[in-house]
Amino acid sequence: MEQFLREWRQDAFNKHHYDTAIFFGDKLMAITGDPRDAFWLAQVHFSTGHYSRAHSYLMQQGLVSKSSACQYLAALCLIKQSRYDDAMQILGDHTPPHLLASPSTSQIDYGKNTRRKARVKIESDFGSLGTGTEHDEDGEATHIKFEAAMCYLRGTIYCKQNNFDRAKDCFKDACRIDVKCFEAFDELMTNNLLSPDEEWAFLESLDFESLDTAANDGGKTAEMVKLLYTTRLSKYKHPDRFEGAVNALIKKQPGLSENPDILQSQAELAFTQCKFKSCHAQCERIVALDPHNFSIYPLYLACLHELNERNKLFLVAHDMADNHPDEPVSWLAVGVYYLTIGKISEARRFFSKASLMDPHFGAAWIGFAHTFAAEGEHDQAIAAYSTAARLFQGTHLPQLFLGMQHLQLQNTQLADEYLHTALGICDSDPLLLNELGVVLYNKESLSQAIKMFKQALEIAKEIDSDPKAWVATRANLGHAYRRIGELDKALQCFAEVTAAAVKDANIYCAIGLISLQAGRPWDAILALHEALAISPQDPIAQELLEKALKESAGKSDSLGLFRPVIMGTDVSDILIQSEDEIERFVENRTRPPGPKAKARAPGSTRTRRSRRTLGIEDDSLMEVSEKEG
Amino acid sequence: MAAKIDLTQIHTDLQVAVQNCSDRCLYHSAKWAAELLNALPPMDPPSKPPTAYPHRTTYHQFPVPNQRQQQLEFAELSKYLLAKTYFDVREYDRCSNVLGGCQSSKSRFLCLYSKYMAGEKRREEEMEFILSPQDGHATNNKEVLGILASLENIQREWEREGQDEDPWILYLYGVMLLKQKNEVEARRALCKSVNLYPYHWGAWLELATTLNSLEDMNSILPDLPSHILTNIFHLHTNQELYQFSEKVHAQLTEIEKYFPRSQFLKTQRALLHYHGREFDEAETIFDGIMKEDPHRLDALDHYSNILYVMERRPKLGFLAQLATQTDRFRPETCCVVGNYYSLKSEHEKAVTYFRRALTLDRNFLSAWTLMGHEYVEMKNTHAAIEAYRRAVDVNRKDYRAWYGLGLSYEFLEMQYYALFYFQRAASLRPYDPQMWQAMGNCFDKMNRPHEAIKAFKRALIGNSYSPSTPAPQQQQPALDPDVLFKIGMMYQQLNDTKEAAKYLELCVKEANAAELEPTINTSKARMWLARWEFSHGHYDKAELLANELVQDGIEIEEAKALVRDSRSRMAAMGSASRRSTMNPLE
Repeated sequence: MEQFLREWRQDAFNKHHYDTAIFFGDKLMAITGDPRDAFWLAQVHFSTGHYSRAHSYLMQQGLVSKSSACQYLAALCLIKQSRYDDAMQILGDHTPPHLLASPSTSQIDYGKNTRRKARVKIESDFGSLGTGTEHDEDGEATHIKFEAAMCYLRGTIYCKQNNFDRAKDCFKDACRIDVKCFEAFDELMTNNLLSPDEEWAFLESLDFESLDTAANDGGKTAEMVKLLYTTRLSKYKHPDRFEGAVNALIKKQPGLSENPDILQSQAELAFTQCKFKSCHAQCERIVALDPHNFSIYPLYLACLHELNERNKLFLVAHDMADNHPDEPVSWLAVGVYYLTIGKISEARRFFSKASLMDPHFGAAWIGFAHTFAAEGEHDQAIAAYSTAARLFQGTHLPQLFLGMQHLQLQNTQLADEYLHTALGICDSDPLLLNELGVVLYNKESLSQAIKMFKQALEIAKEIDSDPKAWVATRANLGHAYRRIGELDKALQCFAEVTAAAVKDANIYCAIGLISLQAGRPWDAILALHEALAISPQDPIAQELLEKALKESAGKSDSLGLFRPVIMGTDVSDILIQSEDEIERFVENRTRPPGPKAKARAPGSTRTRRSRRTLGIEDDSLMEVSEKEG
Repeated sequence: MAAKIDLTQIHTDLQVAVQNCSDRCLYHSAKWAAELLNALPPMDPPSKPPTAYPHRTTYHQFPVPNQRQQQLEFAELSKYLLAKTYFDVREYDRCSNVLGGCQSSKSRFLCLYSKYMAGEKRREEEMEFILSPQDGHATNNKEVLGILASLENIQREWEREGQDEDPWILYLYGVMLLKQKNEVEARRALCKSVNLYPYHWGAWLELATTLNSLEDMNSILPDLPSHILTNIFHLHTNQELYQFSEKVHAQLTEIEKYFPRSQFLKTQRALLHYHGREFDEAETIFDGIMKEDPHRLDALDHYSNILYVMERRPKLGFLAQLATQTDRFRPETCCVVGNYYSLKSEHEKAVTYFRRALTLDRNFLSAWTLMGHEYVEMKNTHAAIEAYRRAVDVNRKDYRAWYGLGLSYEFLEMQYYALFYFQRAASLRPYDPQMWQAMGNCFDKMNRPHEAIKAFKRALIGNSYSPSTPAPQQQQPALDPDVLFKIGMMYQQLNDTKEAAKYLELCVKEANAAELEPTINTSKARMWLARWEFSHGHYDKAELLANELVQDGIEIEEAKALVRDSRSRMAAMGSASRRSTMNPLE
């Protein structure tokens, strides 16, 4: 009968008929008093959301000390009730050190400890409840699984308490204890708790071979899991290895080629490389495959923002806010929309809403900070970026933004520090290198700045990014060249910028300035006209133009103002009007006999070369027999 | 250039060209080619039966596409046909979308071209009304960058796979580069394009916009194919650069031999006359064109300019009516009507019409310049400057707009600016005295007499460098007395009285020779000369000049005083010489 009731309870549980499950589970427990039945009853209560009830059942039965599963469930109940300290008490605030040793030794350890053995026994009972078979080794594995899960819980608690360093350690431990603890791994990756180098080192340290024993298929599973894990790493370092992993995965399991997670990882890579268009295309694919995949949305939104797709953003934001008002990412979408259309205060409201719903939502914090930065409220922006930086330890973006803010505040030293921190995380972001270059430029170390800008451009070229990503850097390089007096190189830089179709009055101003410096006022005037055509009220351009015009007028002849001009239609038809010739022409006119001919100035005995006289009375083409040298 | 010209070949080629251009939705080039085709002398009737008439058989591509292209085109034919119909009904986005992944050069061209057209359409919509803040540089065609990238990819593909280059794609590339103001590269691409396929007039026109001076043109001539179209291009560019010498006329005559009925060439002839200020000839030619093809609106704006200068109000009114009947929503029509109102001094109405012309086509050069002129008349200098600026943006070869800019800035007393614009104008028309005179005035106001003198002297030269037959109704003196007066005044500023006297004398003499009414300047010159002679003891001459002044009725009091002085001095001298031993020049 007991067995029958158990099966009934289990069946009801699987069907989410919680009332049935509770009713019969309760009866069953009253009949048997078995701790296992108590555990399952608690499980049902947990599923219905009655966390405190579940917790108290577990405590009543004193199961917590007996079984790691119960311990885990109890702690989870407490976390759900936000009773973090109590949960921590149940879990203990440190990872049991023996678990971290290699798996084989830890197994030996179990044998020594009878209490553990007893626990393992119960464990195996719980673990095998579903299957009905009992096996010692299974129990062992289940125990380790729960230990890992508890490690993970410890991590989440530290996270909630904003103790990210310890949280990070706990998550890492969880993965080390049980490589299958993907929750912990995911937590590490999605929150970017590790720096790129740490991530790769960590991945290498994980023990995928342990999966072999379970799957027993000659390492195929282990390899695939490792590849899957690889796709989750941040994309700063080793894009080649990343792509290799994706390709290998798709080759082995063609079904994965359209998998949203794989696509997402590709999109992330594209985004990291500033290839917004291809990233956008990937995101669209993912959203089409799975519109409820919230994890893609921050990336998707960022892409849409970069590409200035206002209308799409509008639709996405509306869809999200209508259908998923409980998801913070919905409000992030609304915020991004407002940021894109330039309504800063509305954007701030929604970013703040998103960050209130999930205080650990880094994207929302960054957006929040952006709104302050956009309004020039540097101090508030810095505060918000700092929060983001604490949440997002593994990305360089918050540090980079902090550096940029300090740069705007002219705190060169601080900016330098932040940017170098960012550089430590990611040394391949052209934007970051550009900012570093600007810092160096401000510090007057121009040659180093040039080096930095060049490096940024090289990277930009390497990753084949949109011109948008490198235009500013190219212009900066131009400015640096200008400052050290390499005018030609500077001009070349700016020429490339203008060739990339950037309509920026400042660029043309710079060209004008350089041309002026190089003593080519005519070129300067042309460039400055361009500048003023783009922004007619630009005071710098106006001032420079005035200067250039004066200069050009001041040495009009170097401009070729009075230079000989081709007036014919063919090369053979060239008519040269040199100064000499004009004089001659005028002389000719003044000479003809007349009453006042003698009044002509007597001193005009200029040397003249023999030439056919110019046609005066007849209005035909004036021709010259001899060309001027 | 074109060594041997085979009319039958041209006939066939032009037929193919019309088809080729319309296949690619290049309507204007197709129209131009078709017009030229019909300007050929009538061909002999085909000796073979009509089934073998070249018409059908020559409807293949030229240059004959390679097999790969043919295959691709065949495979994409249905898509291409669909896209073409979309383009024809101006659904550009739809057109480019249909041709998305197509591989043949023809489809690719149409895909990118329609994308460009879609961008242009949106751009014009965003620009709002004429001269609004959004108008002009503030709004870009957002598709251009993407198209450029695609075009570069295609070219890389050609290189990689060793395929033949496609003239149309190269043409589009050149146009995009021009949008980016990358003239050097654009010129290269367009040169390649016309070498590969010379019958595409649009490519020639774009190539012409990259040429800013005769030097530019001469530098690319060697790179052009030896072809009749090259000759037409050469002629057209000469016209655009305001060349109107006998040589250009001869060049035109040469081409007209092959296309005796071409109205395009006739228009060119009329424009040559117009540039040479031979308005009567230009008018006659335009009259002929109007008679032959009464609904032709092309270049009518130039005709109306000619009539405007000649102040033929009734005829201009007639022309405006005629054009309006044909199509009131063509920029040319609007310009004609605008000119008519301008001649009637109804400047607001004129501006309305020029604005309408620009709404229809923002790159319609004439309307920008003419609108600038109207604003000048209305004393709205800033609007005038803006309009002129747009004009030179559209075409940097429009000297009228540069000159207008100069005048406007001079009016605003911004001499440095004015000087720059006059310089630009003068570099386009180095033989036009007006430009040099304006520049001289500028230098004068900037207190730089040396340069002013140089400029004025150039103006003198230019005056005599006029076309072969000067317009009879305005028989100018060979040298402009005003300019001579200015030069004299400049020398006086430099305290070089000898030179000053020389030029002022010349000024008076020229004025006398041309029997001009005395003007302020000539009178001033006389007065100056009279005083100068007086101070040098030539009292008789001084008296003569002063007497002339008295006769002219200008500054009579001063002149009379001078006459009296001279006479008394002469009398004194006379008595002194009688008394002997006195220096006459005391």
